[in-house]
Amino acid sequence: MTTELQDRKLERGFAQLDVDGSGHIEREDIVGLGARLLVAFGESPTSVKGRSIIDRFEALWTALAAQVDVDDDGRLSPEEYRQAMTTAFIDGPDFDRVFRPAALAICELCDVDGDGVVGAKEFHAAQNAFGTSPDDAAAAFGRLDTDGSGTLTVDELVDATRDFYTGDEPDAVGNWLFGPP
Amino acid sequence: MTALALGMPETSTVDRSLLVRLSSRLPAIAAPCRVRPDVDRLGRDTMDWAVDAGLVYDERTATRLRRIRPEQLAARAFADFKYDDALLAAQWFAWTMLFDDELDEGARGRVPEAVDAVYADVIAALHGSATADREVSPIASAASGLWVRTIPRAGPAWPRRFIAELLKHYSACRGAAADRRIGRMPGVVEYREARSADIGIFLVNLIEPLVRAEVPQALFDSEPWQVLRASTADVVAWCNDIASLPKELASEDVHNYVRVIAHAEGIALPEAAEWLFERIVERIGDMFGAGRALDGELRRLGLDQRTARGVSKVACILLGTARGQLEWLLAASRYRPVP
Repeated sequence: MTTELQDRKLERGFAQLDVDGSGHIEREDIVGLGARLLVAFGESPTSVKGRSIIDRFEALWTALAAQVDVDDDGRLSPEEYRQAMTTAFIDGPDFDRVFRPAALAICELCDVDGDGVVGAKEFHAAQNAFGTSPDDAAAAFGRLDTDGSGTLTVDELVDATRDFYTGDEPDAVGNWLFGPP
Repeated sequence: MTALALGMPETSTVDRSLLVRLSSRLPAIAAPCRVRPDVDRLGRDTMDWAVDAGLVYDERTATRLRRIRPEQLAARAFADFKYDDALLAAQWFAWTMLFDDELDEGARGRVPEAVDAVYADVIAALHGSATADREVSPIASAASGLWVRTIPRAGPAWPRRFIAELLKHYSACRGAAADRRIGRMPGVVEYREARSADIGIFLVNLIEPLVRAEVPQALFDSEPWQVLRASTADVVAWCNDIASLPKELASEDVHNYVRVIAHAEGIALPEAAEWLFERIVERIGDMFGAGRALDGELRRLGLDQRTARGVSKVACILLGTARGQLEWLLAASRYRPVP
């Protein structure tokens, strides 16, 4: 059972994938997000980092599709997406096995110099790929950068991802991952 | 004149060496391609299609298609897309290579007028203007069938772009036939320009309808996108020329970049092959340089998310070609001597 906060965040997650407005998400929508992230960072799909993104996004889709596909049409409706995310990652055991590696792969993509931190420019590039407006991205960075250092550690970002996609705490800073909740 | 007689390694060694040397030198192609788990089914369905289309009609033509292994290329380029997308891709790859063979090999490969006739049939079939009183060749009929299935997936600008690239292929193939007729070795610049057309750069255009995306004209015309397309074609062509050198030596076909360079520079074939290897390294660098410039271009053009993600899928398939076609060369036996 999800809270109203979790439902709002799940709706946002669905909208980030359903960019063609079809009202469903398919495997190609996740492939599209992965491709946009690779292009955002100029990363090759056949580099080690690029292949990691593709593999982990595929695992994400497989985990979601395995939970529900009531219509068996290879597409997830908003309700099926909510059920799948809840069963697999919010209430279920697969966040650490499946979702966290995908989040980590994205954060490592953003960490272009491999020093363990992500600057504002890289954060904005990733947000642009997700379809976040520049204002929302700036607000998100400001909230997540709790020590005002001007950078976010990869670990901080992965933790924020967990809060956003699974957490039900209204005051959790991760709720601001994509801007004002 | 054989490759072995000239101190060149056998083809399978060359294919493996290309993959190992390039992937160890270039982090951008260090990781293996994803391959569809249903690749064998893709191969069987492509063969069945070729039989139905009249492109395969005896053991010789079946063996030819088996040696091409178009499904190995499609299974990598379209690893994460629907089966029907990958199947259409495999069929287009099969058609293109069988079409190339029809244009390049045997007596037809030395007769420009024969190239004209083959192309006239194909273009007429694509335009739907083949007349009822004239028998349509299997290669033209197959092209028409593929075209009819592809058009509904494509944007409005796509057919014009595809035909324009196909006509460049025609021009290059005709020029090669004219050269073969008189035994003329093309010059280096001339060869390089023609080769990027006759490798089948029109195949690059197929990616858009196969993934149901359309590259907006402003992006298509941009420098990063043009460099990405051109460098992809060059990398495929030049790797192909290294792999196919023994075959072209055996058939005394001078249309091979290694042979053209060796002749122009007065150097031995192994040295020319090594020179071409270094050019391939540079050109792969150009591909990925263009890939890195794309994000800026997408943002400059203010593309909406749907369009940006669609062109990103196309870009990633293009960028994956550098590794994908090396793995295909190893998996296929197209350029190896027939046992």
